Amino acid sequence: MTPPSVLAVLILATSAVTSGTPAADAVITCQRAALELAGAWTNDGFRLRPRPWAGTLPDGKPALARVTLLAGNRYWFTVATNAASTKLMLQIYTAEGMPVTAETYQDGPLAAAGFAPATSGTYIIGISETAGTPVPFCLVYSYK
Amino acid sequence: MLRSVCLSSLLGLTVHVCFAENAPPPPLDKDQVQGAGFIEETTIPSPSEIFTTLSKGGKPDWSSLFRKEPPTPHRSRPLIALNLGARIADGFLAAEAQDPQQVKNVSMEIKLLAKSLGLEQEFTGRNNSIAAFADSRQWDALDEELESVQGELAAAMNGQHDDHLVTLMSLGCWLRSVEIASAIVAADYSVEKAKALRLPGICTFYAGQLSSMTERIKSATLVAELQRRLPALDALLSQHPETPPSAKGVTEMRDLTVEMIALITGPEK
Repeated sequence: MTPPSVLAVLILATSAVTSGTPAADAVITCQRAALELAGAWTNDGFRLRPRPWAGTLPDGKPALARVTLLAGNRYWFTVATNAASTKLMLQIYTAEGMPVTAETYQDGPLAAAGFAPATSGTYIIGISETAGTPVPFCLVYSYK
Repeated sequence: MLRSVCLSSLLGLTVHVCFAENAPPPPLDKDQVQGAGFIEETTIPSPSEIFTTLSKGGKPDWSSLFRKEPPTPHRSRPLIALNLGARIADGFLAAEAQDPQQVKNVSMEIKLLAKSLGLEQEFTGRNNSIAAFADSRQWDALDEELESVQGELAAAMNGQHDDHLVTLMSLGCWLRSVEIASAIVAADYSVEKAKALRLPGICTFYAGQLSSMTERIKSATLVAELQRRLPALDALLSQHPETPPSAKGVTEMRDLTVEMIALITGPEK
């Protein structure tokens, strides 16, 4: 992880929070876990975007956000929650809602998805939890 | 099917993690697609993200797009915020050109603009680290630092209840990024490069944000002029996925953004 990535943990507490506002300490814990996992991609030449998407999963529904991805780049999306017993899942969809084939990583409260779009444009990121519990989360992404 | 992959962790240790190639999830329904959020920090690509893809298959002449003229002083806070965003995009441009002196020049201009908005404290430490990263040629770290600068300034503006300035700073950065990217593609057009200029919906988002501002801000000549041009820019950036912007379309995109940036950087009206 590069020095700014470490500093980013401190900045993140003041960043915009959406999809419901979890407590500040929960946000920091989720962000730290997401950044630690994203550090693996950084070591593999991916650049980290230090500004996160943080919030609380809606009850029984996935949290969905649009992303703008560029053909020619590769992406890793990384999400974490502070609820250790939960199983987070991360999916990528086209702008029309069709799931795309992505490389996925899942380890309890940590999940990631890697994708190289053939066409630039809008995609949708979906974060869900197997039991549908409204847990806090933080998502960061990396690209190269 | 599971496979084990070695990744080095942030601490430099080697860890094994399992990747799962699962069955695809079901499609989203119409309501879910329409309800997917537009998260400014996540939905809008960073300038570096756009510039990186244009650097593949040859190094563009980034330095030809450095701004030569000294910044025009402004007094209007919305105009200063737009210029601040545009200068942050210039920082990414200087990093892409790997020009330490230009990075430091831009950083100094960002510092002056931040000072005009009463945000000098938020930037002082960053100015030093930007210079250090430029001198040590840590370009990836510099990109992260510039984006963190934008995040910190946005948080400070929100703290001052200047939410509209956050949007204007982000818009300035976006327009300057598109100006740079379209100029690079127009100078040496190829279908592959033009694919990076399909960026739908972002101008529509900004147009909506401008509409929701107070009458005093949105009726200001500059803001009204920018808003008037955003739909045309969105149309150019929203081509069908299978047909990237044509050479003519890219030239129109460049000319339109040159015009919009000239409005932002020019004398106050």
